[in-house]
Amino acid sequence: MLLKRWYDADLLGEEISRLQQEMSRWFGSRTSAAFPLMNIWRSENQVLVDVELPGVQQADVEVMVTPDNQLVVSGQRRQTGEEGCYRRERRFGEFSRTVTLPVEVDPEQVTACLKNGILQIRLTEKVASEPRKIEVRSGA
Amino acid sequence: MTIQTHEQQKSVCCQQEAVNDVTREVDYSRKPLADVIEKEEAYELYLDMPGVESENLEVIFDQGELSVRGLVMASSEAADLLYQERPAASFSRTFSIAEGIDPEKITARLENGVVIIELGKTAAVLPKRIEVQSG
Repeated sequence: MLLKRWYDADLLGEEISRLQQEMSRWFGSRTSAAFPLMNIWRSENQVLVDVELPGVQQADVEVMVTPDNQLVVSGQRRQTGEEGCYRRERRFGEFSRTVTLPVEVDPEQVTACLKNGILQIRLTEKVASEPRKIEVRSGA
Repeated sequence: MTIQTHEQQKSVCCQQEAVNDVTREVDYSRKPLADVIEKEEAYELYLDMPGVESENLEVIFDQGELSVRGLVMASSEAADLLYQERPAASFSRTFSIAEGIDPEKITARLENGVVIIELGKTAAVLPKRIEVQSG
């Protein structure tokens, strides 16, 4: 296994996913995936982002678009109760995820809606500014 | 949302077959994460099932097994998927329920993509308050 050529991209990818599987087998699902999970869609002039946030209250979520075109989703999931718990698979506490958006978006035109544990964020592509003719004055 | 016990299930058997025909193609391979909490009079089961609407959630208790199934509808919007982490499959998971649960005392509700199932204990396993009489 160690003798695989390290520069072979396909083999390296395979090796990485094998290691990831191995890791999640050893450490459980906690290390296997980012939280929260998201899908990113692109339509005509919009970018849609679905984020899985089951059990998260609307007031506990924050969505931000940074000047360098990154989307930040952060917040917290409150614990449902500790007492008498004898199986705990769900995660609680604070979370934050940052993703770089595929196109430049207008930070003023962002909507976010939380329904059935899915946060749907709708971003609108920034309209490229019209080329502007600059008048050249003679330096009198 | 439907909650059925064994007897009720028999009566809707034919109906269920019709539903199965429609949903045969649905992939229910995603296992929702669960928490189990024991309260004095009931067990509470919490399942993360984001994207499931209450009309697409099915909870069946039959012969000591509780099965929960939730359909996640695919996005109807015409858009190209650029990046995917969320599995496309719908949710299902079956739990073996120990004795001491009263099938008539099972309730389920959906809150922000979390299914909360309350399983009431039978009177036999509930703690009894014993009145102390004066001698």
